[in-house]
Amino acid sequence: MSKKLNVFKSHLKTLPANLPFLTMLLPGTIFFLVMCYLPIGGLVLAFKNFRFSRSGFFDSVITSPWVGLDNFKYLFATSDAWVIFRNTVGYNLIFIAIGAVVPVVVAIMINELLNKKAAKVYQTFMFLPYFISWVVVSYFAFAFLSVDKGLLNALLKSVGVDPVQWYSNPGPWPVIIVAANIWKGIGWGSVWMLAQLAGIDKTYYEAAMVDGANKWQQIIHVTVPHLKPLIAIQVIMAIGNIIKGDFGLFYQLPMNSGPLFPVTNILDTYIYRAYMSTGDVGMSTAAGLFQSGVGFLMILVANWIVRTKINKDLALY
Amino acid sequence: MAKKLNVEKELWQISKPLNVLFNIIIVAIALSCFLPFLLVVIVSFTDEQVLIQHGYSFWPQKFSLEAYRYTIFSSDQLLHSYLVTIGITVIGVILVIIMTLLYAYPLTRPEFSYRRLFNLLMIFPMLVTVPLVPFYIVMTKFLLLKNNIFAMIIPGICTAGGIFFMRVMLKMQISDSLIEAARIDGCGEVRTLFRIVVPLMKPAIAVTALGASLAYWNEWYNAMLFIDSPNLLPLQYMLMKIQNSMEFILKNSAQMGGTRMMELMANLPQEGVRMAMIVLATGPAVLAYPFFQRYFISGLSLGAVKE
Repeated sequence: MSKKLNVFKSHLKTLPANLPFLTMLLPGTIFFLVMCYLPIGGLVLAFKNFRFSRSGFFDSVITSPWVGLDNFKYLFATSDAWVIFRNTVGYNLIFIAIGAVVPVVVAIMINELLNKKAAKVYQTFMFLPYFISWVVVSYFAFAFLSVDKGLLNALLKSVGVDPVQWYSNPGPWPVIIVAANIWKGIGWGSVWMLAQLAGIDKTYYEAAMVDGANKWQQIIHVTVPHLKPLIAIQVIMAIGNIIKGDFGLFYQLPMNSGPLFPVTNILDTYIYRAYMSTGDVGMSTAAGLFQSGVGFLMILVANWIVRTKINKDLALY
Repeated sequence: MAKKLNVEKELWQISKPLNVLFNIIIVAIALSCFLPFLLVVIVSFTDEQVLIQHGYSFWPQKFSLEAYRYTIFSSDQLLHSYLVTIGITVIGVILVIIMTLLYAYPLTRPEFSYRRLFNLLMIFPMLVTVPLVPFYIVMTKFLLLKNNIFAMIIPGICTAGGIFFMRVMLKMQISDSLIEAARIDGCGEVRTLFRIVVPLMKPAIAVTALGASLAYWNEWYNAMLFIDSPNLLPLQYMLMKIQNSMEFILKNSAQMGGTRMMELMANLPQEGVRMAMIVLATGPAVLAYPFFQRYFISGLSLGAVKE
């Protein structure tokens, strides 16, 4: 008891010194508590049959009856469950693999260009897609994929192939989704990698040249090994996020088109549609709990790997 | 001597043919990034009749300013949406800067005892995806922000990533001895932050502001969740709504009779007009970018160096 009192006293003693800092932290703390912790606590609704009562928000959460795992049973009983899981994880795996290779290759190429001024211009162009929203990207895509006016169908027509109903034909969409994701991210990814390249100590290259290494050997034996830990971390952290998808990419780009759901529905879009169309709080929260829970475990594992196997300083915590 | 220089150059640089090859590849990527922008701009300047007959094209037969005239003068919606977007961007950016600085600064002060606790408080939400449905319920039933302009501002005012970045920058730019000196001169913590730290942090604040203004300018997600009122539609969500009605027609064109469809089509902004809206909505963000490219990239590279 007296020990507790002492701890309390020592907190009290340092309070005047800490008070200004605590005041500064107050707005952010309120923000995180209300906007993040409260919804995360709201995951308890996955086990409840939520009914909104007039006596307020907290009351309705507390008075809603418990239903155990019923919501999860509904969730996993739907025939969509497997498709959504496959899409979410599958696309992420493809994105991770591409993200680990393409920006690195592009950055190395730009870095080696002899005409440095032109390289700057190329970068500016490549960065453009980063600045527009998925809504605008979907308009861009429509200019190419529109059934009657789009460029792709015009191209097909000119070579004598029948036009394709792009927005009701799921076949090509995995390719379209992946291409759009590369298109939007390539500028950012390669510029970020270029910044990393610029940080490599030049003396390594000089030493390699003294040993008679040509450009190709320098890239393989100096550049790539320097980027390796960084790429590894990027990959591991992305695996931590494997159960999360980019809502805009999967909702806006296919224009929310029903026939495409088998290849465009991911967990995030499923939760949104399930809630907005049926208002089923329980089941969509159950899906949310699945996402948050699995995601949390994945990130813990990913971070543990980074911290123990690669570099302690680069871990999230 | 000349030969030796040549050999060195060979080691230092890629060969001429390889340079040509790399240039071709990179130009192809850069063009594929740029051409869709060009196409949309060209379509927005294309005559509507030409569009209906020949579809979209990089080389239209006839140009016209009609789409812009129609977009700008025919309805107030675009102007309204512009004001909403500018409003949320300005208010949002100011709040982001204040929130980020206030949260990041104490985390860099060694004399503050609860750094770990507040660090953890910020990191945990990064690890656990904030679930959509409870978030929606909190926003609408607890904060009562349905159809409120702040529903589009508040969710973005404080991000762990932004705080991380600011904290790294603070650690790099602000030395302990500087703060110590200010304290000896009798400067309180809050005054130190605003009078001494903030002026030194201008580059980092600029990068934060750029990132935030881009995010708010492109905001449609929270609008989609929380906004119904036409007076509060931001640009991006307005574009999304136009597209949704288009989608509706695409889906139902088979079942519906010709006249009904014509009726719906007549109410929809035409092809050129839609693209003109895209140009007007995206223009400011894209045009502003080259001016800020240097800051943006320097911010990126500074954020990347985590030590």
